Amino acid sequence: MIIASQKSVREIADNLTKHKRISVAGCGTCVAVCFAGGERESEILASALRMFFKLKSRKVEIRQQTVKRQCEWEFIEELKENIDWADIVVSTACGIGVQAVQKKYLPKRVLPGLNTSFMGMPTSPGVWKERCLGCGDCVLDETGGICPIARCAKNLLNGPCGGSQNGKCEISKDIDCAWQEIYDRLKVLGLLDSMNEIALPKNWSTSRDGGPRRIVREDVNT
Amino acid sequence: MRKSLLGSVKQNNDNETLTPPCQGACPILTPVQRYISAIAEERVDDALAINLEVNPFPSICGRICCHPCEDRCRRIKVDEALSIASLKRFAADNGRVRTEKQKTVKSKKHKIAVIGAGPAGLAAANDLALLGYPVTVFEKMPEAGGMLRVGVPKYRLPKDVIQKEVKRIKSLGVEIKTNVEVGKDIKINDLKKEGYKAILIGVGLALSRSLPIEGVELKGVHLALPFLKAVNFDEKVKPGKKLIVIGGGNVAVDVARSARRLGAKDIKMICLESKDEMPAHCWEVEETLEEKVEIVNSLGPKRIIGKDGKVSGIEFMAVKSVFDDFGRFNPTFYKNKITKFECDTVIIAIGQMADLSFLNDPEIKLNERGQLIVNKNNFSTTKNGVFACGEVASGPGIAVEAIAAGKKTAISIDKYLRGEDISCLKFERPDSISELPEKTTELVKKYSRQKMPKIPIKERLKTFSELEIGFDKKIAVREALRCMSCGAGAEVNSDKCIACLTCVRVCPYEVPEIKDGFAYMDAEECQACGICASECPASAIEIRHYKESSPFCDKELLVKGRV
Repeated sequence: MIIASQKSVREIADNLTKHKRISVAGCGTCVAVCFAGGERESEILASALRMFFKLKSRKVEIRQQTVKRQCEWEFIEELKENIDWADIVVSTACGIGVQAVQKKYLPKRVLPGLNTSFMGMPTSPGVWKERCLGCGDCVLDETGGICPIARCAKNLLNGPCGGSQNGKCEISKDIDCAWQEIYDRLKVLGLLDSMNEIALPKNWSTSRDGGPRRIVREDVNT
Repeated sequence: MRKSLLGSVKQNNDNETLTPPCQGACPILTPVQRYISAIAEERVDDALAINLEVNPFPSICGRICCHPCEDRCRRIKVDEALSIASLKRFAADNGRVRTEKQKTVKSKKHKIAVIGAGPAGLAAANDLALLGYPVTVFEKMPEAGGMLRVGVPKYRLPKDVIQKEVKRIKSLGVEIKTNVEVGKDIKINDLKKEGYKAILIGVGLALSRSLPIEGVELKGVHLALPFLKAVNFDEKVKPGKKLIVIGGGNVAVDVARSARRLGAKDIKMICLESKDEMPAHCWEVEETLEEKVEIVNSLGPKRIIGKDGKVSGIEFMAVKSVFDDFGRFNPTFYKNKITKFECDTVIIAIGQMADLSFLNDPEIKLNERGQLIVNKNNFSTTKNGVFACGEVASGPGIAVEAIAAGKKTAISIDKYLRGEDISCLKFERPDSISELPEKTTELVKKYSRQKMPKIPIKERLKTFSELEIGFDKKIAVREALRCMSCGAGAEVNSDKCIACLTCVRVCPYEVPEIKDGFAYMDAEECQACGICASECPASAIEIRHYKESSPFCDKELLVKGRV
């Protein structure tokens, strides 16, 4: 799931200097689950903006609407009325949604309301952690189901490095050393021997290094 | 016109009724939860308005109702029942009436006569007036209220409380003719001639039963109702020094406690029933004992002994059993086990019966036991256009049952006057939601019931001033917050639910689960705390209880301090 967090009200409002009608567009999938831009959070953002402008004695009208997903043309079609009405749009979708809405509703300006961060999952209520970098060449079969690309600060394929201290990464005591976790996991799985094998250099061309990626399924592609 | 004269019940998305047990137990289906939550939110005027939607007597019921609602309160399993009646009283005493909602127009032509201004007759008159009928109530006593005015002592129900509620009914256009005795001042048949298209008999049970024993004619032997009536209408009453009250019901309790306030020193309440079998409500028995009235159980009166034409003592036989194998009242005695008490006054409070002497109409038929024959579903008597309800029709009961009967009769009379067939009329009772599940019971926080403040026992016995002082706002709100909002909890809109599991994680009562890919909350378990609704990132959860004014929808409240 894509994890994002909301920008501060001030940062969003700073881009809304002259606008009188603002449409806040929420997205009801990934960013709803991570409490960033779903119906509730986008409603809260709309309310916060109303209060912000009221405190500045500015007369601004704000509408709010949430669609199922902003990353599909069909769903963002539903936003048409509120976007046509508005001077500017704040989308609380991930970066994908913001781009889709912007493209569909040109020349209306669409601003991001969130900082899209990573692909991850909740580990405890209110805490989300990164789990996948989308490198395009999965190595989880070799690392006991723990991804060193996403979870090691150095993306090391042969860890741990010397910065691993008492199971934590040297960059922060709040970050577990992925390679310590891999070691422990392989032990549980009875695969500790595989730690002796040296992983060969990774083909990064399937990742961002190969430029923007696309996947085509010929059988579905019509 | 209003939608329903009786309280309406809620349904969930699957059309199952989610009637909370308190509402389901109330004969008039009072929306208890709604007014309790209004009190919790300090919307006292709303709480009164909600009561008045279904009950013209909230002040009265708040004081004297024996609250079947509380007996069914699901909080009993957790700690104690909610003090529902006392909260009703709080709303009625402290709320302001919105008069504009109570105004009505006499849109219908047919005049209706109601005989008896008791709870049944007045409730019917109230609703018929709301339906637009011109209604006249004939009452033989100098004031309206029926048994509430005649039989209920003022320390339980002050006169001005009755007057306030009667005034409200009058303000709807109901005419109440007091000091008019039907049968004497006006014949029942003349009412039809005077243009009344429907007649409702709501005369209650106005006569006290006596005992078929030796000595009842002696000076110093009284019947309960004339005694209570004399006390309630401020006549000079001397209950003697040594008083024996025969009976174990609420009327006997009222007699004993009234006599106590009139100065009787030695009072014994003697009844057939054992302590557990006594028909008086347990809280009344408790208060009676507090007031130093001695209760003697399991004795049946044998004869009253006189000296110079005056009562000097009374003999009782020991009771073998009160009820027979079928549970019917059929007392048997040990005839030789005699207990004798000295006394100067005996008051017989063993039950009431109807005074039907005014019915000199062969078309209005009585059964072999001399009771009115009344259709239980539509409240019609054997004569077309004549209806009967309340205790005269259904036997002894509680005030709110009489009110319910009056309200139902109003609906029946309305249908009759509009020419509809009332032979198939039936008032269905909704099923209530079932008991609180064991698992939830353990998770609900205990919070003890607020006590009703009373005037101290020493002062109590010198006065007929109201015994119960009533809740103040602080106590009332605290008590109202104990309501568990049964059946009014979270409901998931599956179109919006994103199955994020937030509700599952935040619910303190472990209610939500994932069913068919969406969150699901069992209405029986949910405590309507609203945490899931306020946390749901998809705003997919509604609390049924707050559909109209949801505090969880107030997003500005949530962002306070973040801007």
